[in-house]
Amino acid sequence: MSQERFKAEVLPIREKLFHLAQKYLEDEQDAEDAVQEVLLKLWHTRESLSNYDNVAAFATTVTKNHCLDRLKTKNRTEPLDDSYNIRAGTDNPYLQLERKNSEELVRKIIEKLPDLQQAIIRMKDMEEYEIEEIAEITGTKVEAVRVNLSRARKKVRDEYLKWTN
Amino acid sequence: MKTAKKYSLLLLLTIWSSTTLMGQSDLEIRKVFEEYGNRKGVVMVELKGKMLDDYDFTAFKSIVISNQPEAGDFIRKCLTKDEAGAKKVKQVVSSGKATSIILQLAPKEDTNRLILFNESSGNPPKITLIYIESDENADDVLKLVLKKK
Amino acid sequence: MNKNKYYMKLYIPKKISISEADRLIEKYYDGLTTVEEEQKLHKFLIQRNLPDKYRAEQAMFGYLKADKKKSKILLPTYLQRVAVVAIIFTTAFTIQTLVAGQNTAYAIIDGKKITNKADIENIAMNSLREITSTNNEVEEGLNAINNTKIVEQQLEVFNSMDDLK
Repeated sequence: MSQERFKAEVLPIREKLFHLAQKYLEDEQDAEDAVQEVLLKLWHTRESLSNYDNVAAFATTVTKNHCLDRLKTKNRTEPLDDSYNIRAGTDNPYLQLERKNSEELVRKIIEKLPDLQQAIIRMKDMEEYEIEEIAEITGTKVEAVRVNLSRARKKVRDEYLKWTN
Repeated sequence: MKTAKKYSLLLLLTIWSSTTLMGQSDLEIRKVFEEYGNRKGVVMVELKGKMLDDYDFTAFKSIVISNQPEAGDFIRKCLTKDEAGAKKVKQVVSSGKATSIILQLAPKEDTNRLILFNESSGNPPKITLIYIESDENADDVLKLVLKKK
Repeated sequence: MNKNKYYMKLYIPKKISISEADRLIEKYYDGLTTVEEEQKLHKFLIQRNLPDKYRAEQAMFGYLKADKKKSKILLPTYLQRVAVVAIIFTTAFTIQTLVAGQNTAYAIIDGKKITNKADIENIAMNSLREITSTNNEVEEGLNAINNTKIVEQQLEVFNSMDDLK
């Protein structure tokens, strides 16, 4: 499914998806985050979206399942393993291994981010989408994406520093 | 597919033959590296490509020779040949001999080339010879190299 | 003599300075950096021997920028095949050129070849110290260097000369 078709077929039902999410999650901000996450999910699988006769119905199902997953993991807090308490010294003879470990730690931290922040940081930093593009896909304002991105990056930094002290 | 294979092989061969230390094959100082590179008391370093990403040099080759006083004379001899057509940026003479020379060679296909030579006083003298290639503006490279602390 | 000046000793126009890096890092955490600025930052952060304060950014960029997935480019199947073939050829060329010495790093001591990069740097450092022990101007500065790169050190010998007039 092309970019234009995605915008034409999926984005118009955003509001409907939001209301659905709100029914499950109650909190307005949570629902907003969930809808953005769903839209990003759909975006990443847009190639196969054309296979569905009723894209809107499919999007609704995705939203429902996404919200249910969110509710399931809401109270689960998994602290990071203590084995990540490493010193990343620059004169460490095992510098290569340290670097791998550092990146592994960053990966784990990102995986623990809220879904939306995770999705945004991946799209921006790894896939190099522009903020404007992400805003378009999620039907949000540029500033909202920027704020989420900023929060995500700061959180990763703070967690990393905490775990490597 | 066969034609593609033929062309790719041809291309590979072309690339192979052109990747000997480019730009230095016509220089006399090449002989210094060849002659002294594997000797005792000699340290030679060569860096090309990725390792130099931090420096905007494209090639760096240096040799530090100890305990071979005749190397200084040999290098000076090589440099009198290589300085033809080159700009002598700096020269320090001590007791009638040039103990420091910096040459900016004629650029080769947009690549600027520098040769730096230094013979330290002392017994025995330690001789340093460095060859640098860079795509940066020659004056900029020189400024960097000669930057005072 | 100021030890810190050796981090910027060879200021090369293309590379950013520490103060510029700090400015961009702040922008990065505000979610305001452009792709180009992030590339400059990445280049800065992959340097060795940076102060410890950059360890979080080094780890983050190391993970995020290494794991790039260009998922937004969707090629029709025949073009995909062409792309694969092109990649194979390019890889073959790259391997050949690597083998032929496009990316080289080695040292030879007393006729013995050294390929370990860390060793190469140590060797260069030691040999340079020997040379400049007779040159007082440079010696003081060199003692301040712990792990400066080969090129800087080799060029130290020439920095004792007068300014280019």
